[in-house]
Amino acid sequence: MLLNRILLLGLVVTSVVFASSFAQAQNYPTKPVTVIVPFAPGNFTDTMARIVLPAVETALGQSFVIENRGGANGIIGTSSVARAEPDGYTILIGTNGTQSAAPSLYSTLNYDPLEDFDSIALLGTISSVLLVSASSPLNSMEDVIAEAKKRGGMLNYGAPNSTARFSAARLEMLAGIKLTEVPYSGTQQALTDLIGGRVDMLFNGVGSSTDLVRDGKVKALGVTYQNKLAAFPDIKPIADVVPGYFSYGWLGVFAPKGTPQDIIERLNNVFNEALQNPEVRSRLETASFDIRIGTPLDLDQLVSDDIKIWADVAAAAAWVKY
Amino acid sequence: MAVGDKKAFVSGIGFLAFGIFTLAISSRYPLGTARVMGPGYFPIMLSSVLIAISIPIVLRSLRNVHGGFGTIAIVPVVLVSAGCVAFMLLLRPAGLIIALVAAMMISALATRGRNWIVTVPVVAAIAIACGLVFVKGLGQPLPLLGYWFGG
Amino acid sequence: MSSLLDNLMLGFQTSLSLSNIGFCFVGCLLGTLIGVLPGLGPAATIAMLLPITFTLDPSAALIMLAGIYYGAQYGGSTTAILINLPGEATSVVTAIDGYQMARNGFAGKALAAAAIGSFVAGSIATLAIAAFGPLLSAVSLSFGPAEYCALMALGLVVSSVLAQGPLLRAFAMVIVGMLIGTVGIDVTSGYPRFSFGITELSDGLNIVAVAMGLFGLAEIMRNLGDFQRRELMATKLKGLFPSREDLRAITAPVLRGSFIGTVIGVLPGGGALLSSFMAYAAEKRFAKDPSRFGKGAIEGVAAPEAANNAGAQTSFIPLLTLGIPSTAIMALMAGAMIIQGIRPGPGIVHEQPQLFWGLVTSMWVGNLILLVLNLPLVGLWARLTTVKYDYLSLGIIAFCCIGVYTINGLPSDLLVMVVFGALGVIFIELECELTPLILGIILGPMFEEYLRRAMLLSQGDPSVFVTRPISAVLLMMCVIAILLVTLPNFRKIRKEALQEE
Repeated sequence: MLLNRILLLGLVVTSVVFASSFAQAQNYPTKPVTVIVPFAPGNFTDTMARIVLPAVETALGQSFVIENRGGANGIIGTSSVARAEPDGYTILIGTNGTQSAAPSLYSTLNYDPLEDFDSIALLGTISSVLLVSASSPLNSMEDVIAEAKKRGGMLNYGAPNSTARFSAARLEMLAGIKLTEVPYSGTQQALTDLIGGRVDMLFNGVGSSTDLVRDGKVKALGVTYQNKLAAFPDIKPIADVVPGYFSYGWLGVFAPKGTPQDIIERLNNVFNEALQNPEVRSRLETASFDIRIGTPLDLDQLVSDDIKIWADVAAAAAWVKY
Repeated sequence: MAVGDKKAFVSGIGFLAFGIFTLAISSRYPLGTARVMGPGYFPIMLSSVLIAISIPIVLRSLRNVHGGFGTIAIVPVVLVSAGCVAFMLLLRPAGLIIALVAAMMISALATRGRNWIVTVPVVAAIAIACGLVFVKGLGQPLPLLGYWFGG
Repeated sequence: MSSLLDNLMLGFQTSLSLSNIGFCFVGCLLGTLIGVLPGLGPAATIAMLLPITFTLDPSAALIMLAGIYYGAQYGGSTTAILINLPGEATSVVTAIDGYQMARNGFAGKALAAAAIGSFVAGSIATLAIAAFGPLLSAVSLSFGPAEYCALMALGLVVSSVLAQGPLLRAFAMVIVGMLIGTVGIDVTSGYPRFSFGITELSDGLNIVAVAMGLFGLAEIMRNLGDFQRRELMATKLKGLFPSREDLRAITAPVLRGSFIGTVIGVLPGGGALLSSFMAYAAEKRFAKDPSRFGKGAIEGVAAPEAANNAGAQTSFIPLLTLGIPSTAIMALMAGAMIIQGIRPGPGIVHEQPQLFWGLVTSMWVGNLILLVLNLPLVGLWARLTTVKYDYLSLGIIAFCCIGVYTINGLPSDLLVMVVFGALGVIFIELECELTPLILGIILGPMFEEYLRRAMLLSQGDPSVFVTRPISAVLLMMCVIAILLVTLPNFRKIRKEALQEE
């Protein structure tokens, strides 16, 4: 008799718990969601997130609040999400920097991009352009490679972030040349020195490059996508001259590992729809951000492929890990 | 040894000690070259300059007669520091209001001859005002009452 | 000339619309309040308001955000003058003489001088942007790492040369400051320095926490311990408004400060503190009686405030003319523009003239609003100094605690503030200057970054510092500054030596 009662109680409890978590997923979100942006406000990642999130909020009827947790190039914010509750109420806007580059750059990384996160949706990619100053004698990728070989490693490039370093290091690896890296703490100094002709070249995001090229302050020699960009129809992809070359930055939405599958699916759909919202789309395009629609598995694949690519480049360039 | 200028002497010794400390630590960092300076280059240079400067400071202090120390009242330093540390420790558990009250009350002990009958309400008023301005007004993510109280 | 007037007319049409004046007012008011509150800065406020800008039209959004930024400069000087607590790191210089004026009962004069100086500077800067925008932009492009390094060197040298105490000790304080500045991850190589494995230290010491400890807490700790000093703190207000002599005295400093601020403010990074400090140094050097500085000289308040405000406005130039944000706050502005679907770049002047000129003219409107807002409040603020110190000090401590915490939400910042508070007491007692220390902490890392980059670009050739014209000029000024201070000593020593024979 007692055993029956206990079994019945157990059945009831289990069904309630099961039903409530099912209901929770069905009703998700029932309270505001925290979106961790691991960079300071005004940063490119932050700005793109702020453009996309309002559409997500409208679709789901709950606020998605951005919390900027900057520091250590995005590592601090990202690691905090790795340790957060996987209930779908904390998500991360991750980048190729935080998910793919980090394992190759830092010796004491306290998270694993593949093990600690569930991918939700890729937001998009952004190409870089190789820029030289208007007064530079270089006019094409072939010139660059020839000059690099002639100067035996003394041709330098600005490196304001890890994506720029990566673009240059990949070029070194695939074109068989050596360049000198000039570290910068921010793009604005790098651009200023480039325009002033003090540094030879710079891989810069498309968004901030188009106007400078149009104004004649800098020349664009190649784009890092494997195909031509709408913004620069006359500029060849670097891959035309250096086969197999590509480099791009990307932004994606992630959640802590263990987040319920249906919440992930729901978020994936909502984000993909938000990206195709006409207003969101036009603002993203003004910033030269290329939207990509995909499934969570697509993002998983991208991250693991990218980690390998970064590891190869880091090894070839003999980057020191701290 | 009669030290003429005590303040200069202590300052000089302090600079010397600090310089030696930073030199010892930064000499373990990669030095690099003049062209590609490593992380250790600049601190080592600075530490060396500091050590070099501290020597004349100490030597001169032995000659010039300048006068002794004023007294530094340790008690206010300790109490105000303790108050701020109390704030730091109590903020999450007990909440903003209590943490501020603690910080102020501990610091208030530093004042001799204080009128406590006026102080206590003033402290309460300031704490509540801060709560209103920073949390309600500016929306700062600070708990008014901490997790000890379920906040 | 006529095109300048046309542009200004176009701008005023936009900025003087009723709704835009309203947004400007809101921005300035918010900015002033934020500036007064220690810790919370314009960057955090602008970031908080970014979502709202979505719903506003671009001009209104930018006008409001800009108002917050330069409004905060007005507010920051208020606490610096009243309680020696720099609301912004850039108000540190204002505190030097401003606080002394407050202690002498002249808080009102100091506050008014700051407001008036800021207004004049803001007007001059607005005109400069309108008339000389492209020229100033070209100036910012011609500053490379060697030039910046020399500029930082000048700032560092001047700070020790103009210190009140003994020269060698001041110079040592600069070095100590620079060493403290190296704590954290080295930006150039990514190598962690002096962090001893503690994560909180790896991003470096929070400069606002340091400033609040050194200036705010240290002052309280010293005053609370001295019964006599406490009595003196509750001062009688002696003068609420600057007299005619005062106004005449600050005219030239304000003009000089505005010029210095306008030019240095354009330079990306480090412009703010450097320009206010240079203005202060210039006034002290050229004053008829330099010994007044540090004890409550009104020029020592007006000049840095003018430079501060002028610099805050001209720091918009690289963003508006090149699309390159020069500071973190400008990056926020750029972000706000991108959210609105406007891409910042050199083309903005032509593609969106009403936005560009509207924003530029709104800065003058904003300065006017701020003057009107702040002057009447001077009396109210000044009365704060008459509150009994027993209670005022508690309020300041509460302010400091919560203010520091709101910057990053890190409890460790409070520890930093406490440690530097205690250190500040020790330093002041030992007659070791704090100004060179804080300048060392702020300018040191920048000096190092530019030094390393200059050497890298010149392939290890140090002569680059003297072969490049701007850099050479700046370094020469350093040498002159040092000579001017040491030469009189030489003359004195020679005289003594000759007499002894």
